[in-house]
Amino acid sequence: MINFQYLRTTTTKSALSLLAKDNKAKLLAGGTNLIDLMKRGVSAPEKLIDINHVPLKQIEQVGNKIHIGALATNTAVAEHQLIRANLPLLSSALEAGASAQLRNVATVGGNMMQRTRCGYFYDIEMPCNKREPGTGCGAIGGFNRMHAIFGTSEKCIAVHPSDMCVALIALDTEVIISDSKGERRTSFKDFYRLPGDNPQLDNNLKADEMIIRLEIPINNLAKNSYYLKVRDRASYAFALISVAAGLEIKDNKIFNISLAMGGVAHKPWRLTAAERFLIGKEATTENFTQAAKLAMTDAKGFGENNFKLKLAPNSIIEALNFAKSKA
Amino acid sequence: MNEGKKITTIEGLANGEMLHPMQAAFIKHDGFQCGYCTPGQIMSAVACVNEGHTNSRAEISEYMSGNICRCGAYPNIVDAIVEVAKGGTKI
Repeated sequence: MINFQYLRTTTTKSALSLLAKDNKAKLLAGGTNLIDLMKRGVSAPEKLIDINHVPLKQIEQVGNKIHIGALATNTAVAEHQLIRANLPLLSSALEAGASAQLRNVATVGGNMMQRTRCGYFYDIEMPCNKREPGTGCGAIGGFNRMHAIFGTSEKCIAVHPSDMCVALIALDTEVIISDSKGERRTSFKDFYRLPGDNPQLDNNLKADEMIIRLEIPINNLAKNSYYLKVRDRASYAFALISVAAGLEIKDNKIFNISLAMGGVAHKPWRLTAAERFLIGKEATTENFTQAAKLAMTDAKGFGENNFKLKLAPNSIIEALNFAKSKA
Repeated sequence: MNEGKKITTIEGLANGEMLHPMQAAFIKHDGFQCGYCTPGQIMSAVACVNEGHTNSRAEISEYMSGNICRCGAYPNIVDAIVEVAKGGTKI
């Protein structure tokens, strides 16, 4: 029996001051991942601060951006008229994730903070540098079918499991973070990190900080966007590969593009080189194929996941063609 | 986390001896074999109808995908949900 303290708060301010006092405390929102981790002994926080009653559930348009509170549920965001109309890529990605029951309670902030589903991370009998730094990586040379092909290190090849985050990085989302002294703002890209020598850190959020809201600029990609998720069964499974693709086509040329991949790295993976290549070009399968090839530079398989080296570029081409054909 | 929320379980569906329409539909369409997953399937089925996700068999399957049935009674479960959704009774 591992005991922990449970506190409940109703304001951001008190949540932040509790965090500032005790950097071993963890915030509890939907609990769909954290509670699992605690049951399995992967995580054993001494103190849980329940923030479910903190008023951060807003989904609203402010100027030319959409603001989403950190505690808005995945279902509330996916089904919201503002999101369906302006950011359908986000709705699709959310609805591709988990199950209806999980989405009903899982929050946006919690989704961002969920841990990898690497089997070695979850099995406390196994070595894992992410769970217990210095114990080694079981997945390198082990069962690594689900694992990363980009940005890996000798310490960790785990992937970030979120679908939502793949859409959010493609949509140039900004994250508003706060500690007890004040707010800061970071791009979604800089919120996450690669494993390097410190795979125990999933992201750059500090122990005394919390996510307050997301700000997503409204774009012209809504008409031609597509979230492709390739997985072992048709629903309720993590991605082997996923691709978020958004296109703005003008005069038969690609005027603007957003492209990101999931299931391939320690963080949601933006395909900047492929985007740059496609800007100003025609939206043809030939160009998509070239772009996919560029996106795969530096990809590296680890044995069981070598199939991703082929599945990933094929998925990029497929997602772009689906996005285009929606016009 | 969920203090103060109203929770309905399978025991709360029937009205005395009168089965809930979804319970009756599961029996009619043979929506189970071993019965282990049935309480969860029926509760999710009721929510699936109430939350308006019964526009197609595919949509029903997607919204029911969080409930696993090892016996594989899925097609019959979908039949039961389709019937209740079409019936239009408030459930």
